[in-house]
Amino acid sequence: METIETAPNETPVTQEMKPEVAVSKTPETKTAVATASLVTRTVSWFTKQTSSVKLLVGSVGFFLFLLFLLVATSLRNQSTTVVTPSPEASAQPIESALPRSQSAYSQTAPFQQFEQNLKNLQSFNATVNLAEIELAFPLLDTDVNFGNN
Amino acid sequence: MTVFPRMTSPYFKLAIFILLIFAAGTSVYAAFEDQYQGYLQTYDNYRQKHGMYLSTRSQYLQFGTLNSKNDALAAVKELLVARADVLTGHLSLLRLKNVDTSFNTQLETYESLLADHKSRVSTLASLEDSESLSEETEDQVPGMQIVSRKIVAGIAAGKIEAQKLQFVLLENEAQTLIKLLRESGKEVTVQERWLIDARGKRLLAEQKLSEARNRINRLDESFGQGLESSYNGIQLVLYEANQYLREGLAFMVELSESIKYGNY
Repeated sequence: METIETAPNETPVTQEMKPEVAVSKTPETKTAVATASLVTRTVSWFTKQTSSVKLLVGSVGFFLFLLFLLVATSLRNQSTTVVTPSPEASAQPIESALPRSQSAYSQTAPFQQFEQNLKNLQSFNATVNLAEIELAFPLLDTDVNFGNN
Repeated sequence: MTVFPRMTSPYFKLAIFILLIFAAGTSVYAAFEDQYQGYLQTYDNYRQKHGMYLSTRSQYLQFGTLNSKNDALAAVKELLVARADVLTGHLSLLRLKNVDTSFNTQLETYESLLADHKSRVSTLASLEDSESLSEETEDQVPGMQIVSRKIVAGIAAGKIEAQKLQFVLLENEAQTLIKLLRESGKEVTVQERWLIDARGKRLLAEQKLSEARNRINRLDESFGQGLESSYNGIQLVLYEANQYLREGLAFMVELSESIKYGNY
């Protein structure tokens, strides 16, 4: 077996391996040629069509593209995982507000009175009933007749 | 002997006064609830009688027999009484909640008209008479509707008015607090800003309230569908006034929080 000279670190390549390389490249070339001819033929066919056919083909292509987007999006949404809170107490979110120091002035009677009055008015404002549903005027028949009037 | 002097003390009198106010408020609420439940039953009764009336009327118009005529007359008599009961019940509810005494005379007039109407129903001898009697009440219904809408809108406006007055008191309290802080050498620019904003909202609410009052006074000019849309417009304006007060209160809360958690 004839051995090709190579650098010390390279793997020796034998002469017998050459045809294998050539064989493996042939189908790729054929496929490329076939693809190219298919594209060329398609383009030439498309250019020969009337504008209505072109429009139809374009519409079909567009809808197929939309369908593809829809399928791809739905698959992506399905694969989205929902993160649930951890059952461990230490990992639960903290809902209480951070403690803040209150001013000395807020402990005085006038301020506390003001704050209480504000809370009362807020509560009244939030629950005030302006509609007075109970006092809606009743719906009554105001056209009692027997065909005489 | 030792108990009697205590009963004359100012604290005792104050406690009795507060208890009486509480009892009065509770009894008015309970009276309204009782009246309202009775009104609902009356309304149900009216619906039944109305169904009977429609059925017997249809038979009379279709067959025209003496029997169907008598049935129709009996049904329409019951309907007229039931309808008058519903209207009387509604007027009673209005009277319980009404805060404007200027409507009392009108309410009494309508109530006496309905009582008179009911007393005359039993004397009806023909369908023609029943139609005439019904028409007398039907002519009064638009007027009753206007009074009813005016009273209800007036109640809602009164609630906004009460809130506005309390808001003004809050503004005064806040003004005093800010003044005290300023006198003690504290920076109060932020608090003054919040107060100005809150006052601005209160003034907007006042404008809306004034607009609602004007519209309520002009309700007499509305009839039929126009009355309904005018009333809905008043409700909308009152809701806007309430919303302005709510926003003003939010500014007041900011003012309060800035003092509470600030360097004061």
